[in-house]
Amino acid sequence: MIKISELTPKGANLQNSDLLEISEFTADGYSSKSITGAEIITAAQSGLQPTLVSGTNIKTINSTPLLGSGNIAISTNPRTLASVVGLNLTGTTNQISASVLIPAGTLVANNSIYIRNLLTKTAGSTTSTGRIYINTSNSLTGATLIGTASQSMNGSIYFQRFERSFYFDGTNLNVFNPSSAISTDLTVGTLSLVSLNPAIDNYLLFAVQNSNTTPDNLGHKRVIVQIYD
Amino acid sequence: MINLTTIKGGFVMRELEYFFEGEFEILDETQAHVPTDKGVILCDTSMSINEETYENINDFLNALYA
Repeated sequence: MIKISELTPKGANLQNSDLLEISEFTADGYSSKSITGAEIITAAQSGLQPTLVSGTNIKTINSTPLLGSGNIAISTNPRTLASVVGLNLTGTTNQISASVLIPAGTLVANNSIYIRNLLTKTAGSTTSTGRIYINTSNSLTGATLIGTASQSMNGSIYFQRFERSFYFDGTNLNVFNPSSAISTDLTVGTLSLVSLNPAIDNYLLFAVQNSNTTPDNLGHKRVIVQIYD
Repeated sequence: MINLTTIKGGFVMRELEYFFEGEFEILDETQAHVPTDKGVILCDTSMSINEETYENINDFLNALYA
């Protein structure tokens, strides 16, 4: 009889074709038990991640394999700060339809902010006005006006695309004349400077005001705010 | 509540000085746009002026521009 510890090491990796056989004495003589190399390998690999093969069992990003060390830079310019849906509101008071927080530390010098939103009404025939403000709290009180949409949302005109781009110079937002009531700044106009402290939270406030109490119900729909480096 | 402290040709809000530029615009009975050197500020009657409150925007603006 040879002890297992006295066996000569195989000296090579286990192969599928290897056979491990053990015999033991029994009352009737001895019995043998065996297991193949393939069975041992299968049992040992159970539950383990198979070797990764790019494009086979791990996806690629724009055909760039993810295997190996290092970083894969992904473009984040522009980055979308928010995409929100505002409320359609009745009433003649200037009130917030949607708001977007610009967290402290988000903006740095030479960033620009691009705002695209859709102003909609579902009822009414009198003038309604959409505006954009910025404030250090989520409130219109003390807010600074940074954009005014066309006010001609009367009759059956229920839709307006409202866009603005703002440039941040490190101290001020450079904005198209905020009192000029126009849908887009894809034109020329007076430059206005609006003080902004990027080290604290700031809120973009999307407000609506109807000239008639009801049924006019202007709202900022699908407000998208992007920041460009 | 935000308090505005009047100064010559403007006011102080949140420790910043604002100087009037152009004509104010009344939005409704409680709100107005006040053009300043730091942009057009929305003022409303929830603000106080020199610790006094006003019930309508006309009285508020009279006190602010006094």
